[in-house]
Amino acid sequence: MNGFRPRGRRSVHTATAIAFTTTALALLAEVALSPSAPPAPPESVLAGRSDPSREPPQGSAQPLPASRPEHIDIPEVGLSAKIVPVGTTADGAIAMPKDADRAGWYNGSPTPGEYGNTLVVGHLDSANGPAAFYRLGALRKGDRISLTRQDGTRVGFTVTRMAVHPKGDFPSRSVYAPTSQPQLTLITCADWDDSQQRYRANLVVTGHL
Amino acid sequence: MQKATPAAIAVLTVIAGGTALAPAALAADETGGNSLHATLSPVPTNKVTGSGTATVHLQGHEATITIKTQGLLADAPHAQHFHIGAKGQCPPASAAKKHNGSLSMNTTDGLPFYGKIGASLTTTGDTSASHAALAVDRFPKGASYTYHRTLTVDEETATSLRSDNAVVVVHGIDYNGNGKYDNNLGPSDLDATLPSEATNPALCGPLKTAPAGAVAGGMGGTQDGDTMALTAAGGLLVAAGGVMYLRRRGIRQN
Repeated sequence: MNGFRPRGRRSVHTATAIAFTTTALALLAEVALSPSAPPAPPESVLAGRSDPSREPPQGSAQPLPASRPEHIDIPEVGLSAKIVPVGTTADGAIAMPKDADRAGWYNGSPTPGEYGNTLVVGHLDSANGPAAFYRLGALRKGDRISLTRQDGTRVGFTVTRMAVHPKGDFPSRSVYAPTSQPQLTLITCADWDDSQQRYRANLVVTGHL
Repeated sequence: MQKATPAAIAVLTVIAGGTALAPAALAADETGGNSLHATLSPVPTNKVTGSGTATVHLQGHEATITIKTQGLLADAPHAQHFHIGAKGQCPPASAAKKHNGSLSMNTTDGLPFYGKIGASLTTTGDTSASHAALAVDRFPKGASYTYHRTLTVDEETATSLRSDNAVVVVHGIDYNGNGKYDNNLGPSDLDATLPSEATNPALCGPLKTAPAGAVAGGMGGTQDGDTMALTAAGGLLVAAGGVMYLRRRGIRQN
């Protein structure tokens, strides 16, 4: 490039290439500095494996009477969201809340503190940005989850298990299985597929009293 | 930048076009029937500490049922039924009444919540609501048992199951904790020749449709921006390479 003088068609080409490169670098920098990538679940659960499960406690405490959950709080990862009741979609999946900033309690599952498997779903993100369960992937075993019920009581669960399951091979039978002791199951999306522009998997977080 | 901008817009347009091709929702794990789940909890005021689960797969009028219990009165038969046609709920403590001087819940007290018997979940033979309801020699025995049977239910019970209105009730309590069914709560409201303890509801669980498949829990709003920017950046680098090639060819031609 010695003796290069910026003039004529060559200089236009050079300027254009520099402009393209600069813009590309700016875009890359924006991506690198962007805080928008959701927190990832532990690596050990990403390949469809799940963390070894702790035995659910065989508590002898009497269950609480039914009262639907209204709020979920997980201070350790900064998650706090209102909960609304949801049903199922035409294809049988748990429906998602219309407002992506809210979590959804499946109204066919027990309320927290009753015996059984309380199912709560949430969007990882909306079309515009982070949603109710955006921070769920940052959870780790042992973290505490607090659910506030309509009657004002709070029920605390400890994360005992995290697993990522592909949508096409989702173990409905085990994830949704009824349990004889109180259990909390939180579900959101995971594993973004660039080419298909969709999430390939679900993150399933299990908690016990 | 004046030349880069249209190129970037072109790249972004292509990506945006791709985004519009949103994937259809995945089909549920359809087996053609209805899967229902229930958690069996102690009926309040009856001094039961047990628990259990029930799953039902209904195909037409064929119901395949699995019930698991724990913590019931040992060595005693436990009548169990689908109850239908009321609220599809288990009775709260407020439904209990004094029986023989003791606050407790007999089967009649719970009827406004779980309804009448739709099917008798016997181990063998007849499963009808009327004839088999108290066939104590054909119900599971023991504190913890696993019951599994496929039986035919009538139209009313099938409809109740499909509409999340059916309730599993397991009977047989030990209110005074003496290890057997006795008359401390008086005679049964269902059959005066049996003690009330033998037929009072012990565990109860509303059967609700089990969800199927994964959830659609994200729209990509925290991914799209990155994807678009990364792809756009990639496109621009290719464009830059192309322009450099043109420039070099220009040099050679000179």
